[in-house]
Amino acid sequence: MLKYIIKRILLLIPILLGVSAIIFALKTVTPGDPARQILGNDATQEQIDAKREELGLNDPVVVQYVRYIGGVVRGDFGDSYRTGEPVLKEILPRLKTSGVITLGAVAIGAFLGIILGILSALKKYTWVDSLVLVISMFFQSVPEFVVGLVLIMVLAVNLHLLPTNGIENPLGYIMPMLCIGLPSIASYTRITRSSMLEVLGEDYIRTARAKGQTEHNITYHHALRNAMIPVAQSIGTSLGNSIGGGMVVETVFGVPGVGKYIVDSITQRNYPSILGGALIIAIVLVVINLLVDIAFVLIDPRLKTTIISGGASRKKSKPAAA
Amino acid sequence: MSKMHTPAMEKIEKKNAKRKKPLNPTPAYESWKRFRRNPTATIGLIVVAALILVAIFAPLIAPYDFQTQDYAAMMQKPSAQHLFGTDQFGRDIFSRCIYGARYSLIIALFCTIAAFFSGGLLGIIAGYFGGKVDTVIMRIMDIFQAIPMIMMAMCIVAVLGNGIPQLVAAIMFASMPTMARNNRAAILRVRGNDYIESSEAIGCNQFQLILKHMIPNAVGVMIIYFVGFLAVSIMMMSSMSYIGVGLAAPTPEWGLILNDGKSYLTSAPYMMLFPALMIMITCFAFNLMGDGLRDAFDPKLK
Amino acid sequence: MKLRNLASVGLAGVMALSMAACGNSSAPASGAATSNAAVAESGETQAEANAKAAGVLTANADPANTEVTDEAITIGLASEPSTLFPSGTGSTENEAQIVYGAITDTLVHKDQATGKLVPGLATEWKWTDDTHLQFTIRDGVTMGDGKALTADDVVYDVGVWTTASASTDTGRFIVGATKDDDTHVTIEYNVKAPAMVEMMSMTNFGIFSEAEVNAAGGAEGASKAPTFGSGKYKFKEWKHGEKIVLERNDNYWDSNWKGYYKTINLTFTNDAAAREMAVESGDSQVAYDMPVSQAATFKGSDAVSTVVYTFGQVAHLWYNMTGDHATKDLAMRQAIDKALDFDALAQVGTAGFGTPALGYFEDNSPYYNQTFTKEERAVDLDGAKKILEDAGIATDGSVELDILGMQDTAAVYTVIQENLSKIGIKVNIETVDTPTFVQDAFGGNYDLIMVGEYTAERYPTLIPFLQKATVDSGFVIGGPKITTPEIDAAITKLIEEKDTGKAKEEAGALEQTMKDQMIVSNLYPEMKAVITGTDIKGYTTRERGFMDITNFYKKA
Repeated sequence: MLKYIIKRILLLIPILLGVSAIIFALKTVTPGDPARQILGNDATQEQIDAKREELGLNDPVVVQYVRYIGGVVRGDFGDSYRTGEPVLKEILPRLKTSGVITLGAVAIGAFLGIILGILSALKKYTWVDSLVLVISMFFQSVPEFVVGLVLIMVLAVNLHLLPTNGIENPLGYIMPMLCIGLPSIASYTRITRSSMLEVLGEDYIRTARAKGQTEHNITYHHALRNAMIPVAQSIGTSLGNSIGGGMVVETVFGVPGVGKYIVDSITQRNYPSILGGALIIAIVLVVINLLVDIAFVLIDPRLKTTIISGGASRKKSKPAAA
Repeated sequence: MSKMHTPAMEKIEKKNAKRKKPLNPTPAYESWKRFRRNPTATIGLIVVAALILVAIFAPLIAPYDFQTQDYAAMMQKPSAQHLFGTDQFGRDIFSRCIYGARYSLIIALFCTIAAFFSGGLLGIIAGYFGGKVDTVIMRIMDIFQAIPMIMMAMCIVAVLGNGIPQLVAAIMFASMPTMARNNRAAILRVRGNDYIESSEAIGCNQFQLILKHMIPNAVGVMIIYFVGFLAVSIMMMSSMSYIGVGLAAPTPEWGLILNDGKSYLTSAPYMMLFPALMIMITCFAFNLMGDGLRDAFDPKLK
Repeated sequence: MKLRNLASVGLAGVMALSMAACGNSSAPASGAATSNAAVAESGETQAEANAKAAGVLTANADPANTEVTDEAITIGLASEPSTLFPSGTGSTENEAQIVYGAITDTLVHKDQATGKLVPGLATEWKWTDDTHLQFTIRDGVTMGDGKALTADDVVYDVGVWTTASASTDTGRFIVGATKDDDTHVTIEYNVKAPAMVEMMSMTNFGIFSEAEVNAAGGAEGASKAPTFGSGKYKFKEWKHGEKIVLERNDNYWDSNWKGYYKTINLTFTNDAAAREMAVESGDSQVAYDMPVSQAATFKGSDAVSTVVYTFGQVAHLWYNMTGDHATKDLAMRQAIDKALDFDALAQVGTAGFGTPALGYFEDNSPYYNQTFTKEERAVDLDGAKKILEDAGIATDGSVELDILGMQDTAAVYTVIQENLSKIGIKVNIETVDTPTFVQDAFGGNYDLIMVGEYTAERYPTLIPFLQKATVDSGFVIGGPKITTPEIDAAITKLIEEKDTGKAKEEAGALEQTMKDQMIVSNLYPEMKAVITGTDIKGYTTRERGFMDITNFYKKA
């Protein structure tokens, strides 16, 4: 087990090296000089050159890359071009904000999804099944900024229930959570439904039926518990995957999260912030996935073999939220 | 949007991991019969077919040109002359939405094909050859996977500029890892089949094996991903327009029309409503169709 | 179970219905420009008069506030500033300047309603020669730390401007400052420009003291917590990513000024629609930086008020006149100018309030000349085609031009594209993000580009697109990328001219040259728009139309 955990953590290294290499590669071909972004449009060529020198932008990109990685190893993700603050210091509170929204969103999506999924499994092939399918797919088919703006219009402007934007008031978290959570209902519904159907067809359920247990007892006692395992695994991984996925939603609601931080940084060519944001998202993703796996092994030792032996390939079955 | 994977993909994937018994090759006819029995899927198919017809016959259906500006008729509410109203240039939103079917569907198709030829192909190679090739490809995909899709797309547009080919490239790169994973899974699943193993044993050559046996058997699953990804790329385009890295004016792509209209949400909501409905109906239809296809190609649960 | 289903369906229904239900807003903004009945009052542009006539508020029009309360106002900005000490960190961000303008005070003030200079922290000023300006420092001004403003502080500030902001307009025209005695300071400029005194009223020239900057932890610390200055408001708190809080300065030197609100909260919301909805819901009182076309749709709304105003800037379409750009050809430029539908451009660019610009300056500027007649601004497709044919330029769509811009110019570019398609010229719209735009605009990577210029005064930066120094250095955003010594000399003379009347004549002559060579097409007066709560009054501005956040009050 320990060996497995170490192996998974070591896998983080090539991912981080790779992510930073991709962004460095993009940086060399992206138009727009960061030095000019910092100095403004009136700056002279000499000032720009001096700034480029100061930022080390004139060095070969490989040198810049190695220097950056050296810093990251020491926990230094560089300073934001825009504010001069250490990137890590800027990102951590934003990570917390995005984390809260992700947790809430996953909770909303999973809760509604599981309920709809169970319902449609129990009523399979009926109109209820079809209705659930339609409902669960509705939010998956509307662009999230539309959902966001309409939520603001209905819940904040017309009904005055929630603040329109920002998170100063804790109620401000609700709409971003809904906006990210609602589209994910469809996938939870589907996993729950198929998992339930599968479990309901297993031998031990038939045995239970044969033993004369009530249908209610079978559904909620035997089937549900077992059917929830893949659902729970899916919830676990979508936690990691959605943390950086709130770019659009955070922009709509003016939420100071990691996603918005990265969007702003890209439009400002603020490379330390882009890199820092990407690396931290990657770290969070890998660490959360690892923690989720460990948690499952602890909860249900039977899963040990599937998780540990299929550690790498297991991920493929998880939602790949962007 | 941002959900790269559609309902169907998910189920397939999950089952892949568990499947022990080989799947008997299903004749296409059987699948079609199952598909047709599924009412929601049939509705999805009909809507998609209708949209394709709209796209083909756009010039006949649309009462106005999609870019002719009429300053005497700016921002008019829906009426008999302008079914969906007019925008801030006096352009007929109905005509733009109709032509939008053409642009959006074709761009989505290009995006999907591009994604299949990049990520999809890598996944097939990884899945078929396995071993070191698999490890290397999938480790690289892990790296790409760690970069959020919208971020990747924004970076690509910042490098390449905006335009239809650039947009296709951005969506292709952003979706590469997921595409690779899905297709790899599809191939792995077929690979486990007895008859593939026996063909290998009797010495069929690899090329033939891939072409004649594995792809036809995995194709059902791939179609599911394909249909699902059409919806994903339409959603992706509208998100990119929102972030400001979408297509340039005056292309009547739904995401762009929607984003233009969003400014007038509370004062002239029809400008946003209709393109939003077009996107919603289209994605909904693709998703329903994908769901039906999943059941049709993969009937174990039904 | 059922309830939840119902709720989902219900919400879906509400989403669709509410979008349709809210459609009963005001009529479209069209027609305002064409009726043109409004007559501009002095100091007002034609576009503002049109806006007023159309029932929309304009800036700097309300009487000053007289009431003092303990209330708070929330103002929604589009983005968060990176610094609150722009002149100390060499920044020119609008948001930074808006906050800085509230927490510091300048030597001279400009009355935006009349355009006149009035005393600020300096009670008097005079030119001792062409490049030396002497200020008399006001007595009894209390700075943030309770100490009085001294001449040394002003000298120190000028030092900061010339070093920290040497690359921006704040510092680059200043040589330095000397203290003449305890109440007199002379600032020396490196250019001859009578308008430099006007420039000292800009927000970036806000005065702070050395002791305060040091107490705040130097320029770095002060840029995060600017507890300095003698402005109408004091910095209180900056919750990064959420808001900036300012509090009224009850020791402000000018007892005539009354601040209605005790607290100002500035929040940041990128999305303009979300910013507006915050006002509608009552969460905030002001949504700054709204697209004019969007704000205009709230004309006559019961929920919010719309403020639309011009700010001394005309939108110009420049032609790249270098290299092998098709726009190097005079005939091409003339044809384009004839084919452009200036009415439509003004309509789209100003949501129907503005009319086509007939000169380089805004129509209420003292230097305004009507260089074009209204007839010359009419669309003349036949004339345009004839010019092209005579010059042997193809009109079959084989000529393609690139027009460079950002998202906010896409609408106007769409009109240009449509106009030029009628004379067989294909226009490719390149909408890029800011860094790419800056790079391409500097590098001349365009055929057409729309860039406005702030021409409220004859600053040394006047018409930089044609100043030899800037063209040669390549550091100008847009423009023809080429100039002649004659034009350059004419601009220098115009900047140096002391007499306003003569300056107007010189500007007219220069514009005639620009017209003859069709260097630029003047499009329309640019406008800014703001959405406020219906009970909010006192929307005032600083230079370049930046919002002045210190004068808001509530309608009684």
